[in-house]
Amino acid sequence: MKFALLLQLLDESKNDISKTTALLRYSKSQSQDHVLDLFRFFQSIRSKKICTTQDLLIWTKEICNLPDWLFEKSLSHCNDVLDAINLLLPINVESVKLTLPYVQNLYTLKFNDENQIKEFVTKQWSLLDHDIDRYFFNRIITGNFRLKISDLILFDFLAAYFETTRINISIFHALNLLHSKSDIKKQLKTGKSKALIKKFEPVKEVEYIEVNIEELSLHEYYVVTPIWIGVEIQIIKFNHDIIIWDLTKQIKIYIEEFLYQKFKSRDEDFIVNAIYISSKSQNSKSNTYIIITDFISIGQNIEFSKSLQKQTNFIEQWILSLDEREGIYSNECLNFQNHIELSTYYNQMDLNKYVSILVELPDESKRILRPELFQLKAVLLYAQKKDQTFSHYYDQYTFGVLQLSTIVPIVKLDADLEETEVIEIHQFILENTIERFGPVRSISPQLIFNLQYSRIERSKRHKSGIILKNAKIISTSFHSALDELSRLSHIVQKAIMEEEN
Amino acid sequence: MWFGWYSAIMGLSSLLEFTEKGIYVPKGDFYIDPIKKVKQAVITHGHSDHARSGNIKYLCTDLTKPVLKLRLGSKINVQSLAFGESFFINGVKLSFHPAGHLPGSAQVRVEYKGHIAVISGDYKLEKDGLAEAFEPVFCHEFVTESTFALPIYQWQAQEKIIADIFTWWQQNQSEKKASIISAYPLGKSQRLISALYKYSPYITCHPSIENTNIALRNAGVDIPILDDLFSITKNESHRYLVLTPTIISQGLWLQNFPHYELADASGWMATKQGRKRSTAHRHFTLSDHADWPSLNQAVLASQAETVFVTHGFSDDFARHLKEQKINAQSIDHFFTRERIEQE
Ligand SMILES: [Zn+2]
Ligand SMILES: [Zn+2]
Repeated sequence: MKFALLLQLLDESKNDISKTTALLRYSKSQSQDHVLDLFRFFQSIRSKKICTTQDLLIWTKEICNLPDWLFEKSLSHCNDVLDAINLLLPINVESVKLTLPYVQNLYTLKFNDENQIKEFVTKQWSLLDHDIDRYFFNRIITGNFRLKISDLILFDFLAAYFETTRINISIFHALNLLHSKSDIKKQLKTGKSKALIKKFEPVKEVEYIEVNIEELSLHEYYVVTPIWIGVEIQIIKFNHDIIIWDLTKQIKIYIEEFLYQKFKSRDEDFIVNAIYISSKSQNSKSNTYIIITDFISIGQNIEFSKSLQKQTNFIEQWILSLDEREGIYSNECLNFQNHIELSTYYNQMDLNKYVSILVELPDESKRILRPELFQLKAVLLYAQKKDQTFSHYYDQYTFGVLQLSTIVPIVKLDADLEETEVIEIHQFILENTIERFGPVRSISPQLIFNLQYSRIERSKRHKSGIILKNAKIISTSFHSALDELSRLSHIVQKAIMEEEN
Repeated sequence: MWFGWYSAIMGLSSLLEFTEKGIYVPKGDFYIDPIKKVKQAVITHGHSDHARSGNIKYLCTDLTKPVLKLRLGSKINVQSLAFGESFFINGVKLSFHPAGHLPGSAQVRVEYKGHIAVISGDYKLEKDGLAEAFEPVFCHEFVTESTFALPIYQWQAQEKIIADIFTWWQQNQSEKKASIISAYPLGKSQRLISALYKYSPYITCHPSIENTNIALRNAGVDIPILDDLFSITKNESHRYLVLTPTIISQGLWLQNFPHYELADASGWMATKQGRKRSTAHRHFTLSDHADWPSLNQAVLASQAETVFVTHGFSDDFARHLKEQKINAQSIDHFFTRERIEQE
């Protein structure tokens, strides 16, 4: 399979499994090095804006020599300017292919002036395969090269390629093994990946202390806690000597919980942003600080600017105002010797209620391991009331997915949604009922939902042949079209891939 | 309703009139691909946007005859002609000439007192190895289709597309998945079968396509005999390329095809927009209609003084031809909106 076709399939596929399949097909005939190259390419995909779409339009017009109205008509019919440009340009018989090295080379090009760019682009147009290659060339050079390929898809693909589990791939990625030229297959077999892991000092407790940011010496050597579970974080590089972590969601919950304990009231809504710093001095002793940078009380409309300097005073005051120095506890620190040991922790994430595992690498870069759930798009097929006496609204839904051109029911779920949404859906149900079977209404399949599940089980009793485990409604997707629905065959295939792993 | 104004304007005596019922030849009192019920219908090919039921008499090519009987019922009153054979209706000389759209598809040539009009029906110039090759016919008036009459539609050679389909089929096979292509039952399906059978005989099709295959085979068209869809077991199903009509209901046969990939093969797959509307995994741009360069070529080859454009981007193609100093006009507005454009 040529690289441009892979790009097209990734760009146009309506579901993840098709993307994984496309990646696998492409990689079948490629070396391990090329596949890892591909992985790194998609992980850090960027656009190189050499010229604008407007430039391309002007040059295409010159080449095609079409009257304005016909040119415009073609553009509007395609509804995608870059697609239209490729289709309007003359067909190339003998052609150059847009390969991965070709694209990588594009990123290194430098031009002196616009004429040089025009010469380059039009030359490539006359060389590149008009089929798909030229279209993606246009996307890249105009800075429109965004393909939606999640880590999950890439990990699934690598897992299938290396004939291992997704967990192993996630771990190898976390340990930075996918970025070195190493024989992944061999390491997976032998479990010999410990050479890359260093021992970490655990930090058990994080305390509030008074700290003036300006007093922290930037020449001192700071590192962040090596392994920390249960916190989603975002790295902010402050200076090359200091790393500051912006704690998000999870730690905010701790802090909010802490504030609740403090004020014994939830009437006040707080948003707290904090910075977590741990320092390591010469004697290797670690100090850890939590600095609150934003303390937003919505009830009082207080907002603080993001500048640290300006807030220092406030932070200090706020910290000082806390009469009890209650600590915020970070989770345990894990020690592991190799990827196999780490995968044990990873497998138990759900059990231990870990949100994520943070891994620090020897080069001090950080990776987060997060458990991933499967998602699908399903359409509302039937509705009933959970409780005939107490339910005001239709609040139990049966969802369906595509099987070829028909829709088969796949799961029945309670409406775990906001009340306003439930009412909206209830109204939709009343307006779109096809038939009534006792308490159950069959609904015209239009309303699409995003669902999530952890795995599937086979079942002879169910029409679809499968049961979704731990299924849950994530959101309604009112604007989705029916052709975006998940396909039963893909859900099953996905599960088979998991099983085989 | 009668529209004769254009001949007055152009100072020509035209053989054709465009009415609500379709393209009419008043001198011969017959219609070509009529939209509404008429006494004498001349049919270019069997697609449902050209061949409708309810006419009293039908005239078509020898190959289209069994197709019409299959689609419109065996009781229809249909007479057929070989390609190039002349036939007189009320003094108007009529003959059929290959349109290359599908086996038996024809352009209709009508001649009266030395004045010649050709109605193309649907056509394509590329030889597909199955349909009789398109024959350019000299005429004074040419009625052309315009399904893909925009400069963005430029087809690639059939061999390349077929090779791509075969590669896809092989990939599916190696992943233990069957390959299902939805294609129009008349024309596209036979074209695919004929071209792909040279690569591998593991091809099967839905009964609605096989009906057409049988009708064409019996009329002498070289369509390979395929394995019966219902005799294919689960264990071997992944080897197969299955052709199905565009819209299929969930059939029992699918039980034996647990894993599959879907593809669409149509000219509309050329654009991203077209592919977006398709639910298939893969899309192959393969059309039975002429692309932009071919449409222009066909118009020039006819040497027609007047060109009438219908069936697609009529207004745009007519405007383009006018700008090329060709006397052209769109005739779609004469017809009622019952036409459903098909491949
Ligand atoms: Zn047709
Ligand atoms: Zn047609």
